[in-house]
Amino acid sequence: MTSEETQTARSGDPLLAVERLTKTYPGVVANYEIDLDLFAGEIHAVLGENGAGKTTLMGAIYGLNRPDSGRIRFEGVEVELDSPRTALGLGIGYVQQHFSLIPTLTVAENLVLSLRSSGEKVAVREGERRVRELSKRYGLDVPPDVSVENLSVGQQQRAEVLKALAKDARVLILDEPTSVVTPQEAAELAAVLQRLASEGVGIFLISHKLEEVLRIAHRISVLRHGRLVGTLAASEASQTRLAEMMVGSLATAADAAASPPSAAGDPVLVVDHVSIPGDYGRLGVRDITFVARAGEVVGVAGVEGSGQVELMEGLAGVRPIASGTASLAGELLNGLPARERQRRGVAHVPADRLGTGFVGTLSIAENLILPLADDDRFSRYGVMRRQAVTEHARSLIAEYDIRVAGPDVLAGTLSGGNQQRLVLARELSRSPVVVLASFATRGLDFASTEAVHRRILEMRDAGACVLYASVELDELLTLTDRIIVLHHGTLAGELPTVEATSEQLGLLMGGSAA
Amino acid sequence: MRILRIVQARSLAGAVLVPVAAVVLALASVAVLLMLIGADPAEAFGSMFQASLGDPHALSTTVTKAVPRLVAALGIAVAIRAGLWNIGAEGQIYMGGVAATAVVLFAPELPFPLIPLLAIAAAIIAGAAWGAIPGALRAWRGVNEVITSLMLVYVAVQISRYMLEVPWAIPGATFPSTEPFGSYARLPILVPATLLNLGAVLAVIAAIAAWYLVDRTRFGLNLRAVGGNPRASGFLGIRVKWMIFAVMAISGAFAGLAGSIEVLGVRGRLIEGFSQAYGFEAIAVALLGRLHPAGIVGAALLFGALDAGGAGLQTAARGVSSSIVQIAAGLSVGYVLVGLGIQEKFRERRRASEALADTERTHGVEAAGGSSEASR
Amino acid sequence: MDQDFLALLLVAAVTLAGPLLIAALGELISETAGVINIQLEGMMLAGAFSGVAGALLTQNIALAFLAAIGGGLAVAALHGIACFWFRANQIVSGITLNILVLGTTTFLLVSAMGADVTQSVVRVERIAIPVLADIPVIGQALFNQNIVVYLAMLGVPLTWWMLDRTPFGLALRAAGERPEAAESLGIDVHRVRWAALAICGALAGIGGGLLTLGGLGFFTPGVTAGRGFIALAAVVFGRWRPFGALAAVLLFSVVDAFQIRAQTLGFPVPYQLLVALPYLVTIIALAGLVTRMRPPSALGVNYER
Repeated sequence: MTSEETQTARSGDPLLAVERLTKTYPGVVANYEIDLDLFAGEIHAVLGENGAGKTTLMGAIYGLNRPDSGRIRFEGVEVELDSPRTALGLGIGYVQQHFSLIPTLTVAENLVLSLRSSGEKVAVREGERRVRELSKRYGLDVPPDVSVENLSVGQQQRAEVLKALAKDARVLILDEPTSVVTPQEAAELAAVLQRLASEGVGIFLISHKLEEVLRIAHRISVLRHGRLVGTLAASEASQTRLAEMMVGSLATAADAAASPPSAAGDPVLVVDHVSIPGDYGRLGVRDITFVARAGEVVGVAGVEGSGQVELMEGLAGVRPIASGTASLAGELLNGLPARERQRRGVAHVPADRLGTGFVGTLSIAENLILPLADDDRFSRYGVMRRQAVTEHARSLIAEYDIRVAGPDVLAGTLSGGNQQRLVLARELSRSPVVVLASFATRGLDFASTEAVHRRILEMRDAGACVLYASVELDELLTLTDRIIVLHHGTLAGELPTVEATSEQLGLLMGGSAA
Repeated sequence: MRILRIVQARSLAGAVLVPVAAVVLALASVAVLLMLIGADPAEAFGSMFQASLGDPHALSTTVTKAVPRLVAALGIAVAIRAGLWNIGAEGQIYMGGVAATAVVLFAPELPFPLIPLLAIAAAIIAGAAWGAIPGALRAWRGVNEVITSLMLVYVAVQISRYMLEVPWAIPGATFPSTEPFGSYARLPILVPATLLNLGAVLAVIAAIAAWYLVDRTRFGLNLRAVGGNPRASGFLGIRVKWMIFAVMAISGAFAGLAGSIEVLGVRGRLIEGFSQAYGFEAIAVALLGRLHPAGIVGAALLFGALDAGGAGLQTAARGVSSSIVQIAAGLSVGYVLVGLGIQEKFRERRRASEALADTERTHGVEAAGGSSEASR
Repeated sequence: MDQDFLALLLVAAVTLAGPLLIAALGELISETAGVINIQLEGMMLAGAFSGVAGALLTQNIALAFLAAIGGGLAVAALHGIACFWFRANQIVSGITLNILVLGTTTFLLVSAMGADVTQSVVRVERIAIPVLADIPVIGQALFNQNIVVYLAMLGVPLTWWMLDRTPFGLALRAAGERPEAAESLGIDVHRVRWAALAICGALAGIGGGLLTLGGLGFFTPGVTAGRGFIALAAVVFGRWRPFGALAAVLLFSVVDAFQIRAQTLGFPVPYQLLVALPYLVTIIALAGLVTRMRPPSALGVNYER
């Protein structure tokens, strides 16, 4: 084991120590007998695949969930972290992946709530002053009196960090902080973290990005299937070593990357000066023009909230097109209902898999034919043909490798990876002309991510036109043939993938001209 | 495979066991209430039994009292399966009763099945229209159907009163009602010397129709999809707004049918207050029957028996009977909610400990694998 | 004559508005924290009943209102137990409680009284505020009311201030908007929601008590006649804001007062349709809401730690 070696790297007692911590949820052991510690002034990265148990572990340290067994010591004293109030009182701050800010309240009001629950009674006016002061001190620019929902994602993250720092944090936890912002914003954040560490704050940094972890962390722990695989000093670690620890073996990791550029065919999807409404009366997409061809994967890059989702939904027919025209193989899509677009060959893998991807209370078989329910194969005179529905499901379950007991299982009981396979099976088995996929690998483990990538490339090779939205630049750089970049709903740039770099894409995503 | 069977078996047990236990508890609670007002519960239940199940006439009273609650509950359950709350079945029952009466009063005397058929059709249309209003408002204006469907109850009751007190009023009558209908317009009694009328058969047909519609048709599939996840249904190309409108109309149609059965079969005329909160109790019937037509039939018979039996209470003052039904209805659904909550917590705890046991069993194996990997 | 009509109409409207307003403020507070109370009607009915029962037992108006609060709180407690402890759907729980309260109050009334109507022995008296009560048209309506109505009027700005300006109000909004995030901010979502639900139960109980101890003076089964649902609608129509709820309540009450006056004055419209008018106006008002409605995001959604 490597953890012993690194104990000598630091002297004194750890600031925070987790001992033999186990946490179970119905049907899954999220953490099993985990030992982890954190010293003052260190950045300790916690690495692992999606579902490895990182967030659950950090939740236990912050008091969001109560472990079944095990201990947590703070400065050597065993503490019972039964709620975030206790954690906040000890000076533990948590910047969550899905920000824990109330969208309808201002930044200062959020701060006031947080401070009060750790015992410090502060008026809103005073909260605004504190936000300004902290902004200045750490160089994190956040307006105090604006509702959180009106802030950009980057600003929200800075607000979240400020909130965590307001209580003179001794321990700061950050969950995947760089996955939602531009590379430039990520670099700024890294600088702030290094400065905090030099001031003696202990930092847990959750990530799945090896390169970033190696750059800024002092120690790295790897979780897999809820267990601690090992802890390394950053100096001893390498990308290959860490990847091996995360996945268990490297046999599959290299496959997806290599995909020969395809020969693009005729224009299939023509988007001409299109604007699409977003939520709460704002425009999600403004005046976008581009062409996508048969047999190519067009990446749609942007930070979260930049209009990628609205664009896809507008093309899929679940959001209206406010102005401009979108056409498929020369025929206008504007105004056509979603079902008609499906008939004409539009497939949609939506961004919010749980919310809009499938119906959890229906069986897998029923989910697989929902868009085809009025097809003669599956219903006659309005009555379902149950035999045909089941047969159809059996063949797709086999073909798409959905790991499940049978076609009658409720879709809501599937794991994330199997849910996405279900969505892919339903959408791609209809031989679509255009595939619209948003954040299709979000929350998936390596194997399922692989499966998604393979299917997308298969569709491209079969001559479909694929629009693939992602916030992960690495994914876009390996999977796509061409990338368009969105910023605040407008088209910030378009370039062939072979010529693109993540720095360049990051600048475009952040709104600076390349 | 193993987990699947357990889940299904569990939910089957939950579908029968929890409601039955809840009903037993609710009846026990009612017994305590009866004791509190000085009645001897054994004697009270005895006379309730006699009045509800004791002889063919009593039995037919139970069935007759179950029918309107059953038919309205079918419609409410269909709506809930689509994620919609049709709280206004009571109003739809009134509109059905008024429409059926209008047909009887205005149509000429025709050979037997024609007038009841026309009257029932009119009642179904009227109930559907009354349900479609909150449906349309929900679908296209985003207005919560709970409030609007309920507001329409009060409007329907007033429409019924207006019809009875103005155009259809009998001069000099003390209680607002129409003249009794001729036998050509009524649902015939099936078994002589009982109250059992053709309405019971219509109710059974309605139950089968509701089951077939929801579980076997394309419309039912779309309905269940909308109920399970309306946003995803929209993404999958289902016309969600239209479905909301249609389902609320269908839900109202069932209640309208219930109203016509009560008027044509039981009362034989339109009379003020002919539905004694049947439409509200039907909500409890639908929930206690776990939204399944078979369960709803059982729950409706239970409430019918309580209603019939309550009337047999010696000590009963006016109004006790229907209040006992409401208390039993409220309590049994309440106990079902508690029972399901407990069941869910137990199931989660069991699944968590199963997962932990699995992990502990495989731990040794993987630790060995891990060390060989490290030594590589 | 016209001025008299208007003055009398306003007196009746404000009297009718009192119970609705108190219940609506309670529901507004509860919904802000994410708890919906379809059983608002049942809470009012319980308050109306226990208020009269308390008056009969104690002959004391203050104790009678205390009993009314107890009635509302009891229903709130059942709702909280079902939803917060046993994860029941809030709408199902609310509907069930309405039926249960209707049955229980009727049962208790009929079995105790042997009749289905009972007079209250004490009533809450009007207190005229000198000078102000003599203002033409609005004087009698606004300044010759009972203490509970005065408190309800004060409750509107108070609720606004509480929700908008106090940390407790922020916590309520946080719990109703994003409970998970609120918990991360250190708020005890369950405690906040229990508090909001209790406030709602107490206020709805007072509203029901005001109905029987103030306006009507008697209790009869289902005496609330949908007022709880109108109060529920007022919260929506008022777009989850205290002054909005006040405006909505006043609209319904003026229509209600008008239909009562119209009946006594012999308007050439069938009275049955006049009785239905406030309910129709509620529907039309909700249907006509043009601006986008935005309820608290987590309204009706149970929170699991």
